[in-house]
Amino acid sequence: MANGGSVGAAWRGLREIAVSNARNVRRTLAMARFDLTKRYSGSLLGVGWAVVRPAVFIAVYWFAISVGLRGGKPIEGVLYILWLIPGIVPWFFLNDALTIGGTAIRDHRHLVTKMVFPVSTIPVFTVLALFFAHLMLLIPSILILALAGPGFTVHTLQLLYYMFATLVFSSVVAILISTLSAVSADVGHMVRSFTRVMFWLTPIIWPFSSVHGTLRWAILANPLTYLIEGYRHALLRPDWLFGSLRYTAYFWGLTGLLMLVAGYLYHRLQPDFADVL
Amino acid sequence: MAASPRHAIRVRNLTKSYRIYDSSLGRALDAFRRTPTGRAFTALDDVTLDFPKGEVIAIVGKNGSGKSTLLKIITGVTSATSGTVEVDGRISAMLELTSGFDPELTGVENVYLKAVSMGIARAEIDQRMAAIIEFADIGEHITQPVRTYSSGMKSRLGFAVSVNVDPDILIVDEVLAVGDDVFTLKCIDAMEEFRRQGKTILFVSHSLFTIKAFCTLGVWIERGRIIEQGELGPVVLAYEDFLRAERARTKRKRADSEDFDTPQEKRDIIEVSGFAMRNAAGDKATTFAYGEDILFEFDYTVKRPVEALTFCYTIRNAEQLEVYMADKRNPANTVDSSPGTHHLRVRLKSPNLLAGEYLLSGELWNNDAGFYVGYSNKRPFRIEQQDYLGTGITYVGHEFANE
Repeated sequence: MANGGSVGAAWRGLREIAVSNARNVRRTLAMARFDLTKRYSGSLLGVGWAVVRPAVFIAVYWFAISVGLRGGKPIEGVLYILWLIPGIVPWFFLNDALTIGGTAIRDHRHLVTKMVFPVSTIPVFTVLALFFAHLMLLIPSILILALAGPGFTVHTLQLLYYMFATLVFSSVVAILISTLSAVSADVGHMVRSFTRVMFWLTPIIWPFSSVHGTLRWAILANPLTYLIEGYRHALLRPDWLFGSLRYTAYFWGLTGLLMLVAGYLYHRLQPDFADVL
Repeated sequence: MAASPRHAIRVRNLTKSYRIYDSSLGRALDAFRRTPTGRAFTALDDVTLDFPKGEVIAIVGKNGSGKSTLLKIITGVTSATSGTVEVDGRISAMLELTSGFDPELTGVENVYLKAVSMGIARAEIDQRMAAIIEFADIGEHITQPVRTYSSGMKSRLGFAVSVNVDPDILIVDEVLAVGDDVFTLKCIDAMEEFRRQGKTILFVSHSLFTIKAFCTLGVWIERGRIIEQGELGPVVLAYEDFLRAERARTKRKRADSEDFDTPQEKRDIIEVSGFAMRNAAGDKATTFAYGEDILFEFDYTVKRPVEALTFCYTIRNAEQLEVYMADKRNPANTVDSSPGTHHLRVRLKSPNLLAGEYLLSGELWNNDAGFYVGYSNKRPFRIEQQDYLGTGITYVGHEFANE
């Protein structure tokens, strides 16, 4: 696919996605709001589940790893649970963005087949809804870290940058995957299995410092490492930017490449959506 | 994108072909291949159509004929392979009334959700909310989650949203099948109101009864091609004829496949073929001038000896009201009933039918056995006239004098 035609298709697709997202910002925000209320309505606790469910997971991981495996040893000078929170909180979001965002178009097929709806905004509003839920979890997490951990520093501000990077990356990946999963249900299953693997291959519950040699490069090549370690960096370490500037350039270069792939696939497959969904 | 002022929608040389894959993964992989692997299937084949403003246009055709594909392309839900569609005005499409409703949200929330997904501003919905709730008429339930609704309540709400967003063109696809009779009448009332406001409605339904009740124009699509279009009457009649023939064909096929002795069928006794209407000059025609002779002819084959056969014909107007029926027992109309193939030519002498659509039916009768074979079933024809002779069905001549 590496020829002039493909690059042209990628650009055209990317422009289609950008234009229809830019034109429908209000609709996207409104749909994100509905998506959020939809996900949590009908239950007693409502949106509270966005906090409670992850909290249960955090408690379980803390128990299994800190109490069970590590014998309560602190890590990077803080309690394991305080170290775990800034890594696993962005993971919960990324996991949902990949799996739920990755099937967004298929899951909202009525918008594609029964209405005139800007299709490329579907994964975006889905990711946005998940991001609102992420904020609901992130805010209490920051408060816990501020009270029990290293507290706020000027370095905490870079969290905003990492949140932005996470949102952009997950939107791009959600567009890419949901475009593929719209035409093939297998892709959704593949992504769900893949993210389960990624959870263990990304330094979320284990520290990046424990890998050495060429394995380090393999772990760094995973863009999720950049984001997860970025959150942790902003919230725990009195330092600017995780890794080098080169690593940041790598992350954005990769994101740009994924954008082009997403644009190409969207351009090729979008005309089929209404026919196959 | 504006169509000409007289037309709400103009469709030019529209073709839509799909690719069919044996597995869905093949389609995803095709995005990376230069030459696609799926088989092509043509859903619409070079369709050209004009939908005039202020009309209620019925689209008929069997399942899978391409009706829904056409509507989806017009609404912009899917794109055409080639050809153009020009639309003048805001379209509200009811491709499925209850789609887009979330079962967990309440009725009111779902109205917002549906309207937002249609791209309508919140302020505009707030304005129309009262009208929507009134139209839906589901009382207290409007504040309950939609999952507690009956299917009728869901369609009421869906219809209420779709008609209250002030569209210029309303597209209704098979939605009246749901809901009770009262709701159906309400929908028809709402659409009548639309028509009065000079708005255009495209209507797809399998209920020819509903179509006849309120459509003005018709389009008949079969296998992705337009078979007939124009005034509703002839289109529906041609379509009904087609359906009847189709039914007869499947019935016959079933009969052929049965090897036990089946009861004697009419076609085993007399078979009719080659029916045609001709004008006075002898050319095939379905349009005649006022007062012109109308000729029709057909072949019939007598396969088993029958007693006297008489022919008979009936003329009805477009509302199926009988204008004239010949006496089927009139011995003067006896035709050749000897075994073999015969040709019959009939001349209706200068009928005084006024301009309009009429239907010609006719049979060959064996009155002793009460047995008949039809040669024409409500075949439409048209009378045109130059001079205005008054209204009604037939011209009644007169003389007068002041005495």
